[in-house]
Amino acid sequence: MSSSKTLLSSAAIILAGVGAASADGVLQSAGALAFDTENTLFVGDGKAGLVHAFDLSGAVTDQSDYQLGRAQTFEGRTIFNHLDVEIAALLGVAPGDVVINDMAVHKPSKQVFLSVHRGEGPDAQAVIVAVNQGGLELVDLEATDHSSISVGPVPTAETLEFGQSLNTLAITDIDYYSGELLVAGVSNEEFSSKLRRIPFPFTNEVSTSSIEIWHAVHAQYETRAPIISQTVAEIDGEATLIAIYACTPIVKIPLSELTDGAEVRGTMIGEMGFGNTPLDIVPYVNAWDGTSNVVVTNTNRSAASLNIEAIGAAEEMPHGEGVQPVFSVAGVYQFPLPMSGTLHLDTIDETYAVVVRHSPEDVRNIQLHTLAMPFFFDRADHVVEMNWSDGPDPFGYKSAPPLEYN
Amino acid sequence: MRRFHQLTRQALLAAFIALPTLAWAEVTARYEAKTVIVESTQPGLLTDIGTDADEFVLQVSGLASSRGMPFSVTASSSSLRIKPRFALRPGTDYTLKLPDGRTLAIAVPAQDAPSPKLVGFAPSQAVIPANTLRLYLHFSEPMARGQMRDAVRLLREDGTQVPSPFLTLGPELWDPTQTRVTLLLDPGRIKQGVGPNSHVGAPLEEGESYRLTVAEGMKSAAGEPLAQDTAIAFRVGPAERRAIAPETWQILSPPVNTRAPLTVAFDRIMDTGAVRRLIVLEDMNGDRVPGNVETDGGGWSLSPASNWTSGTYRLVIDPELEDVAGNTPGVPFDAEAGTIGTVQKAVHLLVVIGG
Repeated sequence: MSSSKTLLSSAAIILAGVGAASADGVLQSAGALAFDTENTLFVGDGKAGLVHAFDLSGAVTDQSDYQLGRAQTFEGRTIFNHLDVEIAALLGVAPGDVVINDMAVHKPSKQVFLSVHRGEGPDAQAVIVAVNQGGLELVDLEATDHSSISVGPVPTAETLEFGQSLNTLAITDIDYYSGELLVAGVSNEEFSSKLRRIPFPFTNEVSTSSIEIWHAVHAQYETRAPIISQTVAEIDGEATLIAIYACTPIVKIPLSELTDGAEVRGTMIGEMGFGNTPLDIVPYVNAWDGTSNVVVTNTNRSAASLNIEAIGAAEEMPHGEGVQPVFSVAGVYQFPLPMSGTLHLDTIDETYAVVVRHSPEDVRNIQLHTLAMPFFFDRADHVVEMNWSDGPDPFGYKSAPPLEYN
Repeated sequence: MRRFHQLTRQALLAAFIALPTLAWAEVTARYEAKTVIVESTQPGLLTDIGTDADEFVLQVSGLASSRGMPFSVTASSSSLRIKPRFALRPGTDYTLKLPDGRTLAIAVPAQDAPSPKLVGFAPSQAVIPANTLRLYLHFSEPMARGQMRDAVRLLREDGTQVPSPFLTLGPELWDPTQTRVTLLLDPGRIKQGVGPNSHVGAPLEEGESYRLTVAEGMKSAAGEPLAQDTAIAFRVGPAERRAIAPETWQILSPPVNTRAPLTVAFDRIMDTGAVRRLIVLEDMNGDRVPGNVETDGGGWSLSPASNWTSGTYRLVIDPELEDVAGNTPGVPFDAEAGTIGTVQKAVHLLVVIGG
């Protein structure tokens, strides 16, 4: 019986361009965002082929006094209605010229940061917007310590001379784990499964792994598919990459196996169903039972939660000759979450997550809204019995005083 | 008599409407050289207004928000100069609220921009493989992002639409100039004998004809729409499921002491983007031979910058080279069980010139 293998061909060593931030051109584009455990904000800049690191030590503002909702009554707080209009006012454009690309929360301060484009042309200006006590502020990146590293493919002098600068990488996800970055992206000229590992602080090296996986939907080996989103979780004490591919298989690979030139196994442990693209995979701890989980948001399905222990215990999905194709959700158990219309998701603290979403009542209304974990559920969004005047009240919602926000 | 009343009423009404305008007309605002210049005919009026930027609001007219753009304000004896953090957008109306409550309109004139056109499509061959993975659309002008899902349709010969033929990724795959966009046909629907493929069918069926349409109204970055629906017609031939085998390519060696192109004829349609980047000719010293590369996917040619000298050259083919169906040297896109795990290396083909 053959088993699924992960081929790790490695070895693109790319020089780091480490330099000081200057003028308005720090960012050519602003896509995927991530924080390290301190004050460094990483910004994926696909147009420049760079990942930037900005030290926001002097720029973050503590938000712990800002009330996020009332978790015990399943009430989240709408920080903004019409977030696109509010950002448009800040940037001096019409709302249609505002593109919100990603969101990340600086956990120590609970401050929300957004990567935003002003315009949709090649001259779109890329900015980072901070949410501060219910207000919006532009982050002055020029005032921060800045470094960056090439994740290729960037046009070099040689490729420009030969007129070959069309190749770009759309950076779809950045994760920080224990002193290194994992960067996933989709090329416009290659259909590959490259995953980049980059030590931080940046040195001069990027190791590139091509990970080949078993793909249940196809009932045969999938040689190449881009990773769209990933996270790192400790499974039985071992740091493990949990990656979601463009055609929605979920794969786990111990990080220790992703070394240069090694040939390792990637275990396919689940499948999100076809005709759907994952957006984000975000780890969280269920405070009610202490379990570790990840939540996956999707383009065409509601979100799902997967238990880390279950991922650890999951058997590799059957594969090889004679296996029937899997058409729908399969593999490790996925707990459905009542969260749809989600554009971006991150956790703020152990109690609240924050989403950029289409309002359930009016999809034209882009909201910045908090949701109480572990169910990512806002009572007001749904037709539920506890909203009814004569309905049950197991959580004491009706006896709770009306919420008054600061 | 009645007409007289009517005229009187109109005159009174006009006077009332004109009154506030007259009272406020002494302050005007215009935008030039990336600066909003506020001027007043009444001496001292602007000095009283001050230069505290927090007291002003500058935003696109009609937004339901009290927020404004960041800017700096400086005052001279006769004007206020407001320098916004971002340049105001052409063709947009802005409103400036002054600290004294006045509201000034600033119309930024639109710039003339050419209408965009769809000027190219790859693969450009009349017949393309049924398992084609990647298509490129070329436009004459930089285009605005965020429109592909609505603007592009794949139609069968009878005019019916192929449902969801493309892989939907969050980010659209534009080149840096935003004149070329990459469309990925859903790989789950291309792979032979697999779920989505057998469930909903391949996007492209052998023997059929298709039209890829780009809708009128798709806008350039400057906001100009495509003038009309544009359709690209092609027929679909047999799927290409073999790994790329460079040793089967036909190479035509140019004569020495000329700048005639070195040409390579492929046995299939290659990805034009990948071919330009991942096939390189090296000279005897291992240096890249500079020159002009042309490809239509069916072949590759290099016209050197200087005359050919005799010797043995090396055509270096990167292992990541792909044909239009995603096959690479040594590995087909539909890899069968047990065939993965082979480390691929660059392929070198020797080309003797003047020998």
